Amino acid sequence: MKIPHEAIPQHKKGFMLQEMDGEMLLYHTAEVTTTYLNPSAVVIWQLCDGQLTVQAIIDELAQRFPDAADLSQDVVTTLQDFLSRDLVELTWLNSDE
Amino acid sequence: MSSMATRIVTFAGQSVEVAVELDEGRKILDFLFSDLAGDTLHKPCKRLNLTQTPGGSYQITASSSDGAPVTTDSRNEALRLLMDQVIHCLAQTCDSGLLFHAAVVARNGRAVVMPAASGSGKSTLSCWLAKQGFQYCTDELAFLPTDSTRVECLMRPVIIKNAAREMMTEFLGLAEQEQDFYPGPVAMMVPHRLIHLEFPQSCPEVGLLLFPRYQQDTDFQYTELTPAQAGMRLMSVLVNARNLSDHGFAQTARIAQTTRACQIQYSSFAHIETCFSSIFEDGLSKDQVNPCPVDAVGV
Repeated sequence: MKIPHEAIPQHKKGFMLQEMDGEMLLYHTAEVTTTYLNPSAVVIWQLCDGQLTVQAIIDELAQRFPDAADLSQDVVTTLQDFLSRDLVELTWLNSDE
Repeated sequence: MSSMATRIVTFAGQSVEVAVELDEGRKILDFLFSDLAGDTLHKPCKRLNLTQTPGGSYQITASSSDGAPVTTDSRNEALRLLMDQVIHCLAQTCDSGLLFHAAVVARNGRAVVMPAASGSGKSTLSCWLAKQGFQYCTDELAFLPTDSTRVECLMRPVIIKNAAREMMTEFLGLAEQEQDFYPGPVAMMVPHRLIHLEFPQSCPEVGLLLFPRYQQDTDFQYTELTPAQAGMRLMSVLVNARNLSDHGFAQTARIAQTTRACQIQYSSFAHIETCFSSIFEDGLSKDQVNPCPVDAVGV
């Protein structure tokens, strides 16, 4: 699935979180599913706050990790994984149009 | 001539009444449930009846109307299915702690909890560990009461799948006691007192989470797990999640974060012997316990 960089990823509702040593468990009570996030995925997950666009998340990570190579593909791949697992949904700045 | 024998079976704060209307009903109840003595504190959530039909089949029925009767032509299989039904009833109503599908062995008051799905080799591994000097506790269910780190174990006869029967009988040195087994079409039940005579007098403290995976013709793999990795695996074998207010998530995470955890994949016990001390002796050292508070965050 192609993810436009102007899309805004947002956590889906219904998760309980446990952060442990930089990793995270997400438990969905209605779906009865548990998802494990490694430290890289946790950083991206935390930026899926319903405010930042995909491009803004990429820019934020580039600022935090200036020595890292181009992060855009990693971010998009991780978001695709989140979407396929139903962890996030995409919203748009002008979603009512 | 059959008569009715009944018993209250209690585990994990829940009770089930079991009635067997067969020859030697009392002997059957002793064999299956001698270590699951009932108490008067817990009203039985259900009554299960094992009877023989006029056609000669064996039938398990429940007092409540849910579920069709379970029927089999094999008497020994009926005993195994009765045990399954009892466990199902207990898990369905248990809400006073975490109930994990897991085998447990113990040493010096510390438990090795081996959570795994059916077919992962829990029973055979727990028997093997009993032969290495551990106390056999269960091959099926482990219960951690809310806010406790001590594990209560469902002590029952060991269920050995028929595919592993020959290997286990020889390995356990039980060939001469085969008359005491209850062989069925799927698995045999072996009295747990043939496996190990010494059982823990009190509930052992959780010392190590070991996630086993038997896989034929595979290389041995040993992996230390992070707390989050262990927590995810634990949630997958938590059988009473739906009965708990937060599905047991916070307590499960707490256990994962305070207990050393590792995963092994093996195709023979010789594999495990090669790193026995690093897994079990170092792993059960109290120094390995790393208590850290866990904060639950809701979304």
